[in-house]
Amino acid sequence: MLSEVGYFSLAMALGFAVFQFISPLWGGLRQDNRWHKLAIISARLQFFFVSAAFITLITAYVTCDFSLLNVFMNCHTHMPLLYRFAGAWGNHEGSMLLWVWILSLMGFAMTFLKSNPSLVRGAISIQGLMCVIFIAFLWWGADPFLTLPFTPHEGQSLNPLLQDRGLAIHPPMLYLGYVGFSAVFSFAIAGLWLKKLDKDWAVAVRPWALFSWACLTLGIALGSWWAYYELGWGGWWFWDPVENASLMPWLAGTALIHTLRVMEMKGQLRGWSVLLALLTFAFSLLGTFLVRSGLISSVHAFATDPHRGIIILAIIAFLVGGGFLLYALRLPRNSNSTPLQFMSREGAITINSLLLFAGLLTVTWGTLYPLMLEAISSKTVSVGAPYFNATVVPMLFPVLLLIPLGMELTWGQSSFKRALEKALHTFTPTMAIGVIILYFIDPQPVVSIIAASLALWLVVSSLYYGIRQGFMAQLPMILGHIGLGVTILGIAISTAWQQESNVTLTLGETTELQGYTFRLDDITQGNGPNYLYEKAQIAVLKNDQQVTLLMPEKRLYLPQESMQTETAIYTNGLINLYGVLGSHLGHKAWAIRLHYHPMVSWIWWGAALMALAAFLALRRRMRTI
Amino acid sequence: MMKAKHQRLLWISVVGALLILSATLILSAFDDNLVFFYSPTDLQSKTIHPDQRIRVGGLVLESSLQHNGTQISFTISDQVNMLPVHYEGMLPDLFREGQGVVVEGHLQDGQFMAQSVLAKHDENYMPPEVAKSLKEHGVWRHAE
Repeated sequence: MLSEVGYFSLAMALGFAVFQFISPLWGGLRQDNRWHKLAIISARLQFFFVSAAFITLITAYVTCDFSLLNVFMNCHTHMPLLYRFAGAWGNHEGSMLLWVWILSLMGFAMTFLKSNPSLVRGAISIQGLMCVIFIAFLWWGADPFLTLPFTPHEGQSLNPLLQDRGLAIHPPMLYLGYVGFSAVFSFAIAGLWLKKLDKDWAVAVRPWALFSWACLTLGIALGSWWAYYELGWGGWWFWDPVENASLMPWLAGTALIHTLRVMEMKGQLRGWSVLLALLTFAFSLLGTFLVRSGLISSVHAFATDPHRGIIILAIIAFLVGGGFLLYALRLPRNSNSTPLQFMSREGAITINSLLLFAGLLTVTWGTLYPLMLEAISSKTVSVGAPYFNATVVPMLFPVLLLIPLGMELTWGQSSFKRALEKALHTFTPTMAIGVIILYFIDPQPVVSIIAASLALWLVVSSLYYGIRQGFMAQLPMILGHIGLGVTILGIAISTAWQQESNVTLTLGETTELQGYTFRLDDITQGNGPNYLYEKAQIAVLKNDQQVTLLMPEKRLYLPQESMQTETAIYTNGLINLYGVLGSHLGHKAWAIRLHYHPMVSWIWWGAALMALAAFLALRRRMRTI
Repeated sequence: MMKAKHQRLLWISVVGALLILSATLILSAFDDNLVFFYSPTDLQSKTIHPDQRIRVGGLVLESSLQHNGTQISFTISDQVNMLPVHYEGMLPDLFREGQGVVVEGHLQDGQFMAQSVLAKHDENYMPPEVAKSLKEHGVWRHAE
């Protein structure tokens, strides 16, 4: 039954998407406003039916309707309600449906815009075209509503790694980011087609870019946090191709939200902004392709069917190729805008966007090279973390130096000397204090000491700017840059000063790490809803005072019989203690891994601040519309 | 105020400098950090310098896993040749005898010193590299 409802909804959505695509074009040709109304109605109905399809799949999951192949493969009656709910997008087909739902949601949101009617119509039409393509892909390439010839009594359950609170929220957030940029892409295409790429275009596009960027930032941060506590390796970023796939649109999007600001203020950087708009969505699509094609080994590679990969690749080639062709043919040349001032805020923003772009190129090269090499030579290689650290980190330093300087420079003609003086007010004391303190703690990791001090300077100089210029006037900018500083501070310090210890402990035995004493008190066993567990109780003491009790678990998930560690993490905001329970080594001895991570949680708090800043900027924009 | 011509010149040099910077960074970092993948059979005919970081993949040989405190050793095989592996630390959850695994580290006197053991994410999952090399040696059977 639910399968038919799903198919019906998708078919209706596909039909309305076709109308949404065609009627603005037709209306434009005929100069007839009724067609535009039809486009708006189609976009709304299309969203309604995609939502109906999505809700149908969720219902099938929640009620464990095993007549659907997809539900049978990924659901189980013993799974807690939250994971049955979130399981709807914990698989290839379901996640593509979520993807399409957000694509449709963006088109729906556009129908409420009042200003720039011709541009918005164009964007709604392009959004409709993408919905047609992706609903068709869903129907023929990734069908979530396939039925089984009989109804099994029990399903095969979800990969235990995905049975986690983070999973419920990470994919929707990440997809809001990825697919949110589809709206930016649609506006770029519409602007190119209509040759309307002026300040108004930038004003119209920037809210979409801010929203998507904020969601992408949160999505990446949640993914990294999930990897940190769920994978149990003590790391939060592995330069895994899937992680890089989300970082690439983030880098392009970060450059974009800044160059759009220049375009709003000065009407400059038009070509560069439009190119970045196209690139950001191109990289979002590439991310989807990399993750969904099964080309790379990862938890995200649900599909290992190469045909799907080829279809997605063809769709990307069509959309991105079409976008760039239009860019080459229709970008209005040689407008009368004044040349870009080098020593100005827009100059600093431009240099930083170029640095971000250079970072994007190196990450892309390192991520795609193994795939290209394998395609042409059948050699298998991987590009390790050292490559990315050696290329991305050096580019971070000029970025960190330029942001505070750029904030002190004013729009248009600006005095570099004045800005430098203001920047040095905070630079000299912060760097002196930062370097001295960290050097006395441990002089070894020079790069981290400098990076952490620069990040601290970014925070301090942003605050200094706020104190002098008033916080409210430029709150999003100040907050966003503080967030970046906090994140980099967390990265630099946790990477340089983390400690790890692999030990074998018998009951009652203790071990030391970084001034903390860890004592294995007890090991208990029991049953969870769909797993058996073994749980350790590790008392953590400092100066004979108990700080906390870490209770890491090992779980055996029953339907799959697969093992899964649950880490135990203690945090006081400044440091994290992280415990993992290993295997039983006999004679009441267990393998235990302990980590000490200073300031690691600042990485995610900083990301949250950055996202908050973008949402604040968005809110200010909404008020002025 | 600078002349428009000078501004443009300045911009061109900035873009040029950044291009050179990123090209230099990529080229200098790239070669040292490429990690090639081999099967145990490949290693029979290749000489790998002990400093070179490589990946090796295959199936974990049944009942080859030995614990000695946190010291771990096991053997991986592509059903043709075998390679003994040493590792210190905790094995990933999905590490199982008889299943596919990829190890990364250094080859020393015919023994593999692993720095990391990758057996990730899914109990039915075979790392693509391992699947490919098993297929090449004709011992691939599709996972049930």
